[in-house]
Amino acid sequence: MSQLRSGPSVAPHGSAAAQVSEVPPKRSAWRNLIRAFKRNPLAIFGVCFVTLVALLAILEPYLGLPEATKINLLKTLAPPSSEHLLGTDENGRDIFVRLIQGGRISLLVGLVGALLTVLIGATIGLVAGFSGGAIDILLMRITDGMMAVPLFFLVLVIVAIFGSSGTILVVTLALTRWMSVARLVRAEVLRSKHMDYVLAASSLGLPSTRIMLRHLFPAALPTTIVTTSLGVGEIMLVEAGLSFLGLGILPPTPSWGNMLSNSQYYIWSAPHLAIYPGLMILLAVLSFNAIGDALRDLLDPRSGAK
Amino acid sequence: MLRYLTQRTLASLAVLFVIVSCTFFLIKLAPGGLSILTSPEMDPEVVARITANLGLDQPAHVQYMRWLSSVVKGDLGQSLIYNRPVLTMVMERLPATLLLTGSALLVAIIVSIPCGILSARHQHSWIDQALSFISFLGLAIPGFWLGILLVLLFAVKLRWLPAAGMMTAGQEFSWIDRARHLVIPTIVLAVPSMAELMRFTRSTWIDLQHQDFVRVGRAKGLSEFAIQYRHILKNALIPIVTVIGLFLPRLAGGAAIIETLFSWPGMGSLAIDAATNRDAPLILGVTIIVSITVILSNLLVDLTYPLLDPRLKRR
Repeated sequence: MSQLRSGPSVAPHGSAAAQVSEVPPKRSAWRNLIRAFKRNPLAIFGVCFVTLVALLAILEPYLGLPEATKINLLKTLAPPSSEHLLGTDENGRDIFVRLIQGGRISLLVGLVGALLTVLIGATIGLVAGFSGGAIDILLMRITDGMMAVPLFFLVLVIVAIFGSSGTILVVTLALTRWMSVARLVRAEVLRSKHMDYVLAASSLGLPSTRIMLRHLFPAALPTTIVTTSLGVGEIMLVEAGLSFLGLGILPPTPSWGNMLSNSQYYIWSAPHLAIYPGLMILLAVLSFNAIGDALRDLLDPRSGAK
Repeated sequence: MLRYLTQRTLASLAVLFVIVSCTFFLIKLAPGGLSILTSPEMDPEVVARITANLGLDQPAHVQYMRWLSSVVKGDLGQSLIYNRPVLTMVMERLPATLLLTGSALLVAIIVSIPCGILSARHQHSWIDQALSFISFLGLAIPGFWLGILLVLLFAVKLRWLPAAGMMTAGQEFSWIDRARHLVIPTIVLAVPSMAELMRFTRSTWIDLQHQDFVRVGRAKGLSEFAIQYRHILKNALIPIVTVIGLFLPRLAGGAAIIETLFSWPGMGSLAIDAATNRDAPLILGVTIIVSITVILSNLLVDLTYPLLDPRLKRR
């Protein structure tokens, strides 16, 4: 999915003229970054939202909030009050704290999952692109084959056999989603493989791993950063779906997905049970996608030239 | 042409082989190994058959060959929870899933391609920005949450559409009734594909505007309509069909969640049910059959390429 979005043709927001003038030779990377985000208000929102969720997740133990797993059957579905900022759920648990803690898990699964995905994908892409020949063909056949198969069901098989936990989730999702990263990185490697500096490095007799890591990987780094950002959103969506079904993050640990599990039964009496966690997922995924888009405008010269 | 077809078919078979092998290694790794495919509550005769089929006392490579051959023969074992043959259970559910995913794909194609073209032809206009924003939202919204919201609005508040299931209880089957049940699940399942297809159509179309053949067409004085809908459309269809092929696995995965949410009796909800109950033979069987279905549909998509791209016919 992300390999399509990061195709060279995706036109960014803003006018074409502004885009062309956007690749000036001299300007510090930092100012370019700020400019890329300034052009994209959604990305600014994204950075703020993610920072807020992360800060709350880190500071939560020190904020003196109610306990997230404490069940109080005398106070179910309570309206917002000074004690419970967003009210309580069907078991009398504080929704605000659960949203914060759920955010912690969701962000963690998304970030670690995306990093692991990129690690696997980039390694395979580097090896395939650098080796060429039979290894390349074999690795790319595997990649194509895996893209043609509904791997979500393989995730279900793994959960059914080994049970579910944050770690299992992260590893399984990474193992089933690295393919587009591998293809993108391989394409970048093929593009820079025959550059003079790579030839120079190999004629100096440097070991292949060093050439791959020091000379080829940096060329693929922009693509990698963009796909990581987009990958966080995708993985958060899958995690939310699985947790919603009771196959991801399991109660009593709150996650945005499993907070929605029971909400459909209270949709009439307490619609806020369904609204808040869903909104958080939507905004978080939106944020990471917007950040990814802004980074691509900044890092991918081909999309900027459009 | 024939070479292209055999190539595609062989590739599909290879993928299928790998999937079946993967499932074998997964159960081999499981605590308890192959014995998770049987349960003490099963009919002893069935247990004896499965044990003999898989050769639980044999070395791993023999077990592997037996696993392959029993899958080829269509013997996917017996569900631990329902005590029924897996293949029968899955095949009963196949039509419902095909109906749901098929209509979702159709809706995505019918809505997204025209919207993508509209967006591309009026690049940077307000309509382009609005459509881009909608597709941006569509990519980020969790499907099951959208489903809950739509049920709240259309089933609970407005009472226009049923909230779940495939037919109204106690009513005879009618296509109108089925269609009414299909509306919300189809839309929810179609949304991510819709958003993605719209974005992709837009960018492909914008790319093609700068191609030489467009310039040639303009130079020889073709009407704008001919340029856009005869030349660009023909060239855009090939990448678009490729992307639609890539949607199939994801639609199948999405269907699992959506079917469960709407109690739609398809293979997806069966898979979730099996995973929840840790019913290993059933979830393996569903995975294998869903994979076969997706791979066959992909093969169908591949078969349309020679129609779209005359260069392939000559191969």
